[in-house]
Formats: sequence, structure tokens, C-alpha cells
Amino acid sequence: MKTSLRHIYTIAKRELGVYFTSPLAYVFIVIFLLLCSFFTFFVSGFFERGDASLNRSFFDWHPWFYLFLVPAAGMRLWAEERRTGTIELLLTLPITPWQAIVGKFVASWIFLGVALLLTFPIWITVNYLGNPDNGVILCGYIGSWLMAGAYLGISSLASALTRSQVVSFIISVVICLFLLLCGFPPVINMLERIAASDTWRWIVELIASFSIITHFDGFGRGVIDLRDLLYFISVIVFGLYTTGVVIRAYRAG
Amino acid sequence: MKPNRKILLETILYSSLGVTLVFILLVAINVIAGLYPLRLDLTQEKAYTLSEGTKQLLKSLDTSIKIRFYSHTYRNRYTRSGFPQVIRKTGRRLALRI
Repeated sequence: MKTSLRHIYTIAKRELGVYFTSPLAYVFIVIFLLLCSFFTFFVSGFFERGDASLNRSFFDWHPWFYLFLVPAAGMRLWAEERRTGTIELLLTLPITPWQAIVGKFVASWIFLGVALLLTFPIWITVNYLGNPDNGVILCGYIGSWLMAGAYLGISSLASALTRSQVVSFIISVVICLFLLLCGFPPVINMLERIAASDTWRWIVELIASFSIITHFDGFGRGVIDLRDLLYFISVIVFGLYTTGVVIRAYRAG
Repeated sequence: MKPNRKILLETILYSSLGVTLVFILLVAINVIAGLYPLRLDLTQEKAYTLSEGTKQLLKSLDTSIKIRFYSHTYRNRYTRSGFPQVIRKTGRRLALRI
């Protein structure tokens, strides 16, 4: 147990180092911060709302930013290793594939957490101008980070499937978009209009319960629900598990 | 016998059958967790938690409660027949809890 944790730590440290020695991390962080500020202050009209909260103006955009940014951060995880052939080297090291998968995932997740934490000027702004409920904001940040993890799990799977980073990016965007749209209110309303009778309503609710948006909603309001927590953890576990299956199939031939 | 059994388990776990099984297992865990609502309310004024007084009051009622909800139909784009989905869901959850 202790040695496997040490292996995961080594892999994660190395991967995190790769992020910050290439321009990728800085480009990613700058684009993320610009998008966050632009959408919060201009599109949502943060100053005109007269509401000291980050819920509607800031966190509501996160599922849509992550849709493009997290697959971009996660597409190189395994596709790069496969393209350059270093995957053979990595898999012959005295570590199990699991440790490599978890280590790479943790490194990217920490990187996304750093990008998220760098949005702190928005938090300072709202505290300077008004008197917001900081518990709700903390809850929003926790939810946002967990959501990034769920996207990253899917990106990891898509990345393991192919040697081309572009293909992996497109696959993970499509899967994430599907998980987003099945809880998007206009889509749910349309489904409800089709399945209007009470006998079919449970199907609509079942579809909505698979969505990232439905589960992120509670975090934005300031409530950590066990079900929402478990949903994001399940998506991460399933993504990493299927990554393991794909890596094993690749190794076998 | 033992190493053989371990290899068999691994082949099952890493096949499409294994993926399906893990998927079903995760969905089952989520469904079971849904039966036991547990939530942490981080809002300052505990806006999403029923206070003790409210709980006492609701326990002492012996008839079912009618909730009347007024909304502006054409301005609310999330509304179907004047009744937002969120409210409908909350109503059902309340009915389950009390």
C-alpha cells in the first residue's frame, strides 16, 4: 500500500512537472481565467445584478468552460505516450498500470485545481463590493473541482483509446456534451413534452439523473448532497477503470 | 489452483462483461445512496434545512398539505404549463421526507 502510494506520487510529480515546463499550462490557465472573467463580468452582467453571490454569474458557466478546456488538458495523458512510444517504457517500469493511471489523473486534477484557485480575484471582488455567503462560494468551488475530475476521467478514457490527440479531444467533448445536455433544462423540457404522461415521466427523470448539470446544481446553491458527491466519484472511478481496461487490451496486443 | 483463479478473475474483470458489471454496480450504489438522503448545508442561514420548529409543526399536522405556487408563465422559460420542474421535484422530495 505504502509503496503503491509512493509510485503514484512519483508519477504525479513527474506529470505535473511536464505541465509546467511546457507552455501548455500557462496557455490553459490564461484562457481559463480570461473566459471566467469575461463571462462573469460582461455576459452575466455581474455589476448590474445587484446580487452579492457567484452562483448564477460565475459557477453556472463552469460546466460549459470545462466541456472544452478539460478535454484539452487531458487529451495528452495517454495519446502522447502512445504516439511517441514511451508507453512501452512506462508499462515496463516496476509499477502497475493502475499506479500510472491514477498518478497521471491526480496530476491533471491538481493542475485543474490550481487553475480554478487562480480565479480568486473574482472572489475578492465580490467580498469587496458586498457581503456574500462564503459557505456557498466554498461549496461552489468544491463542486466545480469535482466536476472537473469527472470530465477528466472521461478525457483519460478517450485519450487511452487513440494515439491522436485531436481524435481523443473530439471523443471526450462528445461524451461530455452528452452528459451535459441530458440535464440541460431546455432539453429536459423538450423530453417532458414528448413523454407527457405520468407513466413515462420516470424515464425523463432517469435521463436527467445521469447528467452533470443536475448534480452540479446543488453545489451552486450551497448544499453538498451525498448523491451528487457519489455521482462525480462514480464517473471518475468508471472513467479510470475503463482506461485500465483499454491500456490492458493495448498491452496484450 | 490459486494463480489460475486469479488470472480468470482478471480476464473477466477486464472484458466488456466486466465493464458492464462495474457500470451496473456503480449505478446500484448511486440508487441505494439515493434512498438515504444525507446533505451538508453550507449556507449561512441554513436555507435548505428544515428548522426544528418547522419539523414539529409538520408532525402535528394530520391532513396533507397543499402548496399553491404562483408564477409568471411567459417570462419563465424553464416552465411547462406554469409549473417549473425544480418545484415539482422539490415537492415530491418533501412528500417523501415528511
